[in-house]
Amino acid sequence: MSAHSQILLTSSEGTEFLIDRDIADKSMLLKCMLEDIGEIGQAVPLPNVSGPILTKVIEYCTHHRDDPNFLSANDDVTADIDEWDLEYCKVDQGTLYELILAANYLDIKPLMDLTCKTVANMIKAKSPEEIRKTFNITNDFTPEEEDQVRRENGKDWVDEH
Amino acid sequence: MEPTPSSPTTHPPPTDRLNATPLPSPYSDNAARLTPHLPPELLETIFRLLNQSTLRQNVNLVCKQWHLTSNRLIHRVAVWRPVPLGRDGCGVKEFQEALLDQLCERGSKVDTLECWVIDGTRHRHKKLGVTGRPWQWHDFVSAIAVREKIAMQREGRRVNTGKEEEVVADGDGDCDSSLFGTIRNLRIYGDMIRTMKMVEDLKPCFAFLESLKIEIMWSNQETIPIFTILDNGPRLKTVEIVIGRDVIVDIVQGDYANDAATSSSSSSRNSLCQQGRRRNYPLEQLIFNGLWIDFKTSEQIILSCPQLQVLKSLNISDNGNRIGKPQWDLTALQESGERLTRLARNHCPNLRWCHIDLHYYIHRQLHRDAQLIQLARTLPQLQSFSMMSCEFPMALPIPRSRLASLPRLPSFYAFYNCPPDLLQFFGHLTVLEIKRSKTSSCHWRTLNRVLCMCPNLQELLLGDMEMSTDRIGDSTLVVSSCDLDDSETPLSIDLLFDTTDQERRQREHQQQRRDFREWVLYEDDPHAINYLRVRDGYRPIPRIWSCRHSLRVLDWGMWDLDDVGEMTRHIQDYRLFGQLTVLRIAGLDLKVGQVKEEPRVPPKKRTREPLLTRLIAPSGPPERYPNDLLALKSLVYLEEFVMEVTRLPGTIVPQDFEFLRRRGCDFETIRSFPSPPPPSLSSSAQRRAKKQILMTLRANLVEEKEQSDEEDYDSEEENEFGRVDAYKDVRTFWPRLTTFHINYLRTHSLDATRALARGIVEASIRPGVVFRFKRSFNSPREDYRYW
Repeated sequence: MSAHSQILLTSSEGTEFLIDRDIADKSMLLKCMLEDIGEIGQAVPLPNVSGPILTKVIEYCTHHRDDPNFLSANDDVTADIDEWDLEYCKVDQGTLYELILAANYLDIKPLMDLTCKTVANMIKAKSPEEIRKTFNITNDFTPEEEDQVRRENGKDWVDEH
Repeated sequence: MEPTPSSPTTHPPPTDRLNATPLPSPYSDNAARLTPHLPPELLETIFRLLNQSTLRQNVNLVCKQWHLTSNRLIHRVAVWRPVPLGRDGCGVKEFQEALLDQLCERGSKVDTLECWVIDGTRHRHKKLGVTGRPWQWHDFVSAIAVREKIAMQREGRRVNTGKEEEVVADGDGDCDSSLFGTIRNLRIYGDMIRTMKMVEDLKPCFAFLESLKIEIMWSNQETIPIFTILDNGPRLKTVEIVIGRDVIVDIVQGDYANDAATSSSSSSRNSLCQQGRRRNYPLEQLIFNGLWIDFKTSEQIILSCPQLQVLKSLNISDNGNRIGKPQWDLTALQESGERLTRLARNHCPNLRWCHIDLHYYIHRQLHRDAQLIQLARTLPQLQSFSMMSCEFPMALPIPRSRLASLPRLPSFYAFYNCPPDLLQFFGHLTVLEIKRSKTSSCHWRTLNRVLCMCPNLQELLLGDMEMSTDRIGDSTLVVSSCDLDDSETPLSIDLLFDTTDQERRQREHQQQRRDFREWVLYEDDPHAINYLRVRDGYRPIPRIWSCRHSLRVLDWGMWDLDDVGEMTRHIQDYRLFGQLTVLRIAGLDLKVGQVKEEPRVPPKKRTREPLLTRLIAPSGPPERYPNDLLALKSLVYLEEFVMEVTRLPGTIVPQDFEFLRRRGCDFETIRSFPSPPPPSLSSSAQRRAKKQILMTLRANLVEEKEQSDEEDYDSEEENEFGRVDAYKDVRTFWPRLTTFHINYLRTHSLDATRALARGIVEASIRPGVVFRFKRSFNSPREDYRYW
């Protein structure tokens, strides 16, 4: 198989994307599929990924196409995000949500780590109320239940580690 | 800090996933928010990136979905203590009963049980207070036996009264329960408990455990039956055993005389491999501290635990000598050490942290540098490493030929000279732990030197040490006038020899100096400005702490009498550790600008003072301590601050923590904060360093004193982080902070710290940050002198 062969992907709306094989290989889903069944000569349908999100995913994979440690570099979950990735993740929450789902679906671990780290950074150093406000979450605890949770987390003899 | 392992999300097969039904797209209507729609497994992946404090105090309270998901990741620890809760000692039994009742309840979320069989507290290296008593241990064992029986009956499990082996067999099978239903981790902190008895008593529990830690402050000379533990704990992933005193505790298996006997003969080694009598254990982490182990048992452990990832402090000892066997010869010892490392490499492919040390009576002949090089060559990709502080003086090699011709070298002689293997080895390290030696002190300059060789270091764990703050400033460039001046003789060497031999020794030293000057050649090469040029195909060592900007985690155990403020100012002055996310300090006291306590006046003086004088005396503003933490403002990435102090002096009130109050605008901008510069000297610093070294060497250094490396960083312009002063634009102090924990041994204002934490929360000084002030009953770092 030629190293420069190209793969056609179809997003959920039917938009087609022609990408190089090495970029497609960044996705474990596509890589395994292409290795298993070979080049099928027709577009690969990706019903769970919309066109704009697929564009973002391809942008990410293209930027990291020559990264030799693409699959191993992000083992350290505490490592900071580099500048390009930081800019890449400056999107609204809806897009970030779709990127997480797409990274999970396409099995692109570095993108998954990056997007999850971004959300984790949004949670850090915020109180429960601030977290709710940030993510537009409704507090579905009753006051009694909330008190109960606080008590569980604050017992004398049950210590956090 | 142990990083939380991220578990890969399970994916369906590719074909299934391609045929999956499309998910609703909240992005398309552009109104959706992020997390309510995320499936729990993805939410869990995100939560794994958060620390325990954030999970427990913030995430757990957001909504029910987050509560349920985060509960799976929160570790809750129940502590069994024999320490009286009230002054009269009452309440202990009630406390323990209530604790066990709670553990046995359905839906208990506690997954870890700690047992303290020590009255009083303990220092990080010493036990404090009253000795634990055997009945305390007996109480614990009988209590858990009874409760476990009740729990098993409640769950309808098979109960085998009085026969522990049958219970173990039950756990070995399909039984899916754990101790009390939820406990999977057990930690025992004991004192004067016989380890054999402890293991025998706990046998029934091992079947349910995933991790076990046993820490004993004192133990009689006996053995720890590690294989008995492993045989009875089929789910054990982590075993840690710590002995806190300088006593001989061995790990052997079975009969002492047979198993402790070590042999270097190839036949015995082969026979051991062929025996294969041990089954494989799923153990991933095995950590020893203060124990001795023989070659044969070490081999058995490595062979039977192929999934090991962490194998720490495997101290190989000369058991053979102690039980009357002949000593090993040097070659055989070296060979066996090499073989053990190779065995670890071949049988444990996931090994990422390995520390094997040879402690033999003849170890003085077997230089530790040789061990280090051998380890570097066998496991070159190791990323985590532990060293003993006493290893430093000989931690880096000297060519044998040079040793022969220069019998008495200056102590620093070796450190200009580093073989590529070793430099590469240190270059790979991301985690370095320095353990305190019980017998010798740390060689500070060499520690600095080692840190110069670790450019990729992210975690530096010195919590076990007693670091002296001013030692950070010890020059790593150790050329001094005394070192190169022919006319001077080191005092230490003078003290060791007879004065009648002085002339000959003087000649020898002069020869050494000449050899040394020739050896340490410096060429006028701009690319070599940070190095000293060395010979023999070896490579130079950088002159600066390469990791000073890359460190993420720093665990710093200070010398008891050192001032915390001095250390924090040091970090400020030298712009150190700009990327830290976790800082743990063990020191003497916490000063955050609180009001000082009134000096204690003897009663006699107090009575002599007229009441009227006291009443009309002008009362100025109360005297306050300085705020030591203000100097750490440059640590803008800090998320966790944990401090273990001996005392909280003065009267601390919530308002003293106003400096931590959040300023709104930083909260959104901090993520685009500029990165610190790469660790290199600026051009002006290079010029100055070059000039300095040339002057030093060419003028033969009769009067010129060495200038420390750190002086190079005194100026703002030499550090981009300092020059830009970017952190000064960040108004919130430590804007990323999530955890602020203070563990203390004693305080002036007795039990007011609980109210203090509550007061900080009520004052909304820093919502989202978990404040905790806790008496250090279970802190490993406590100071006996102030108890």
